[in-house]
Amino acid sequence: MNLTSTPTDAIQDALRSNTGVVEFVDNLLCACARDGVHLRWETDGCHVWHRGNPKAKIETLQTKSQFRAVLARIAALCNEQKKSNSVSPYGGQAMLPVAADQEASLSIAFVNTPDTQFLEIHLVRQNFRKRLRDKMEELDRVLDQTEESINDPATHLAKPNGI
Amino acid sequence: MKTLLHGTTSERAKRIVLLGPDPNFVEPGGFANAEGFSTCLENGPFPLGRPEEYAFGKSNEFPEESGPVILAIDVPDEIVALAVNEIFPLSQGVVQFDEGAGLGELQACWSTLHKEIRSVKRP
Repeated sequence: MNLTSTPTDAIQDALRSNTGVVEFVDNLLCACARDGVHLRWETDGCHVWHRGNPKAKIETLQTKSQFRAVLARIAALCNEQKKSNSVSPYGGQAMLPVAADQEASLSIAFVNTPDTQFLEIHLVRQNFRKRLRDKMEELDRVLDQTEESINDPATHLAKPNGI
Repeated sequence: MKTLLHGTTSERAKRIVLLGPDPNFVEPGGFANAEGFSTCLENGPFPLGRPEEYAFGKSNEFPEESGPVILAIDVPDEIVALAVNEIFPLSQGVVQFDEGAGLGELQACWSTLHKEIRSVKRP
C-alpha cells in the first residue's frame, strides 16, 4: 500500500489487488492506522467518509455481500482478541491493536444486519498521557543532573584542560 | 462436490431445504432482502467466523425460530466455481452465492442436491 494514499485510495487499491476479503481487511485496517474512516452501505453502494475529505463512493466494492463479508471479517478479528469477545457477527464495539504502533489501537464499531451495514474506525493513542508524564520526568532528571554537574566544582576540576 | 455450511435457525433451515435459497427473504421486523446466500466450506478456513457463531447469533436474535442449526449442502464444483471471485477466493473458505455469481444456478439444481440439517453445539 502506498503510504501517501488516502483510505479511499487504499480501499480501492486493496480490492484491485485481487487478494480476497482477508487481505482486503488487513489493508483497510492498515490505511485506518493513520486516519479513521466511516464506511456505510447505502442504496447506491458503499461510501466512505474520512477526516477532511468529502464523502466518496467506493466503486470497486460493488455488492452488499462484499461489504457484509468485510464486516464479518472485522467481527472475527475483534473476537480473536483475548480481551474482547463482545462482538457478534451482527455488530458490536472492540479495540484492535495496530501492528506498526504498539502505543496505538483502533477503536472499531460496526453493524452488519440485513437492514444496516456500517463500519467506523478511529485511531486511539491509549498511553499518550502516561508517555508524556514519563518523558517530562525523564527531562526533569536530566535537568537536575545537568544543574548539579554545573554547580559542582569537582566536576570542573576533573575536566582536562586540554593543555 | 463440496459440502457447504450455512449457520441459521431451525425454521429457516427447513424453509431453505424445501424452497431453496431465497434472495427475497426478509427477517421478521426487517425491511431489506437477504439478496445472497452465504456459505462456507465444511473444512474451513473460517476467516469470517464459524457457521456455529452465525447459527447462535441468529437464534439469539430470533429465539422463536426453534434454535440454532447448520444446514449442510453438497454442491457440485462447477456451481461453487461460479461464486468464486477476487474478493471470495475459495482458498479463504467463503462461498458467497449472489445474483450473477452462482445463485441462479444453485437454485436451479437445488432439488437434486443432498441437504442435511445438523444440530450445533456452542463453539
